[in-house]
Amino acid sequence: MKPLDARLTQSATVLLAASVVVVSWLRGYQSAVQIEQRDRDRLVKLTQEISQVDATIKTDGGKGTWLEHHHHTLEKLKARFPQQTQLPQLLNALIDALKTSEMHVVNITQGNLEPVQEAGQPLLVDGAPCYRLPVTVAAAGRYHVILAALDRITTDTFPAVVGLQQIEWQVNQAGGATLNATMILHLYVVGSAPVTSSSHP
Amino acid sequence: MRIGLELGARTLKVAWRFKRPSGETGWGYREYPRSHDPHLEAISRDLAQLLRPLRRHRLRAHVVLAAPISSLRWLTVRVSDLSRIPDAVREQLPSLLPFDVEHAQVQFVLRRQQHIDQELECTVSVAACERTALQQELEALWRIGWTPSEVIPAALALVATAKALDAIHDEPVAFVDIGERRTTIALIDHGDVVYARDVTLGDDHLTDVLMGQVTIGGTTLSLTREQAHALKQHAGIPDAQSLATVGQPPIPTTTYLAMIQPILEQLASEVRRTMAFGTHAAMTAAPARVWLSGEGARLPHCEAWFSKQLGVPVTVLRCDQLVGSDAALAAVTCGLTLGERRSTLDLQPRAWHQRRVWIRIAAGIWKGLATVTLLLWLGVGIWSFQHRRVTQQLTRLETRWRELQPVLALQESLETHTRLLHHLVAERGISLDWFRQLTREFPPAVRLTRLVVGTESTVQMSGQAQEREQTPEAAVSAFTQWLEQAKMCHDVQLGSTTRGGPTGNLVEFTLTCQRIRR
Repeated sequence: MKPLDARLTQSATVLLAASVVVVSWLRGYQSAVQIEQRDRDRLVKLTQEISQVDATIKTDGGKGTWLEHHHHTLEKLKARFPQQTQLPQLLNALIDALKTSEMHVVNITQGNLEPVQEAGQPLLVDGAPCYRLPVTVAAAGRYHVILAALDRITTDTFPAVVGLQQIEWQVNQAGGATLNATMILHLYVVGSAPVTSSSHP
Repeated sequence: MRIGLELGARTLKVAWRFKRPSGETGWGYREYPRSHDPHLEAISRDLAQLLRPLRRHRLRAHVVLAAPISSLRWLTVRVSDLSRIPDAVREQLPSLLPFDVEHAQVQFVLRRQQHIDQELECTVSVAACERTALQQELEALWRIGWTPSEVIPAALALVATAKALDAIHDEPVAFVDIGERRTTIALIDHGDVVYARDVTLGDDHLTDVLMGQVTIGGTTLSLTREQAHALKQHAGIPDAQSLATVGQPPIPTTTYLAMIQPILEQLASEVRRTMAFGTHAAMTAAPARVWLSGEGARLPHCEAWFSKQLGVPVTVLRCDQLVGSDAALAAVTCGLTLGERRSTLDLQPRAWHQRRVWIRIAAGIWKGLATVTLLLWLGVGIWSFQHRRVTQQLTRLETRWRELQPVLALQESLETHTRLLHHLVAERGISLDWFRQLTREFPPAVRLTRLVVGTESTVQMSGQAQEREQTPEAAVSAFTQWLEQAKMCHDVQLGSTTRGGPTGNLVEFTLTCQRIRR
């Protein structure tokens, strides 16, 4: 059998060697560098994140204390979203908060419970659908008194989240300091039943 | 490394010269018997066996092949200009070469030139060999992956050895290398080969004649090749008067001499003729000494016999000190490894030279690529080692990260609830901060009588402005500017303004604007 031409075998070897170099570069070297750099970046990121968390919990005297303190805060935040069943008590609390001031509450009317939606989807609080109750309050009083009343019902200590949706006031007599105010408030509660976007509770 | 290759009729020889790490020159020599099969495959097979230990050096080393049946001589031509030298040489080739010009591989080099009568008298050195035989040897080598760097006449190799052994001085000398079936005769004048030719007569022809049938005392004797060779090596060229018989079984010396004498005399005659012709054609004087080498120089008493025949002192050229005792008489093979540069009388055809260049470049490229591959994987190893260290650190941090997960989950819940609260109160509703700022920074000369704020950001205001330090209109204008500067509202649009009041120093106004969300 006639042996292969050396020029052919050498050229084939060159092509093979070039292929091996390309494969070694792509699959070997570049891949190894990318993996190392990816993990190094991850290491740097993780180090920074752990440092931040460590710094955060250190201010409260350590992990245990931090967890205890912030669990308490979270519970308070969650408590501001009461169950739908607690609506009567909430309305009582709202009226009490408004009446205990120097403000004269003229009228309070409530609307229907509506599901809260965000971008066409029901808004969930801890997995439960959120509802709002529109309440219209007509009152009379001085500007600072009305503002103080609003402060009381929107503070952390009030047992629900209250949003001021609209306010209209005007001086009830020329040169006087008393205002007639009409406010629309939203009381937010959470329900247990699933909701649809078009349904009304 | 420099490798010299001589393909004899019965023996293939290779010698190589290399530099040791210490800087000293090292030598190697190897020979391999050539099979009787004349086919190319058989020669290639034998060459492969011979060159096996040197295979890995075949492309890196400078490989020199001795040309088969070559001729070399100086020639004087007269030309009008230098470009006409090739034609002039070509014209004279038929009378110069001992073989057909059409089938000869020829190379020449200009040695001297001088102006004579408007013409140039040029002395050129012309070398030639049989192309067919050369092609066959090159093809046999090519089949096993070898290509010579150059092909030179045996005479040049012979002279290189002689120079290395300090056997050449200014006086004219002749070198006779008696090979197996070829004898190279070279005439040297002032260190240059001025005339050389190969004759197809060698040591093996003596063996051949000794293998012929001979009748001694009624008994017919026929020696095998080995017996004939041993007899020749033992008896050499004896003196018939001092020795009655030679060898075992004993052969009368006269009979023995009668058998080898015709070959020897023919050989001596060729040497004598060459010396006479060369002296006449190209030398300043007749050779003062003859140096013998090759297989034929092993014959005992050959120096004396040739000296007597040629009429000049004859000495055996031994290369023991160069290549070792194994190749003591392989002057041609040894000479091929000497010299540092490519010979100007390279007889290798251009196409074959290009083949070598091609595969050398290709080999250089793939070896370079192989080195790159090796370096790449070395790099992979280094990166992997670094990656292992990073992974160890990462594992420690991930453990710590898992321990901190309750903190992160609680942090996320807090953020979610806080964000939700802010969204419902401040983004969906009206932030009380807006009213607080309105109360805190409200301009003194203006009094609001009506305010409507809705979730759609539109604010409607009605109010009165009094004249104090400036006109009420200026106070209204300052109020509208304040709303924008204090970032309470933007797009403030003043509606109507009416001057009134008991003294006419009051302006009632209405305006609308867009509330800036907190």
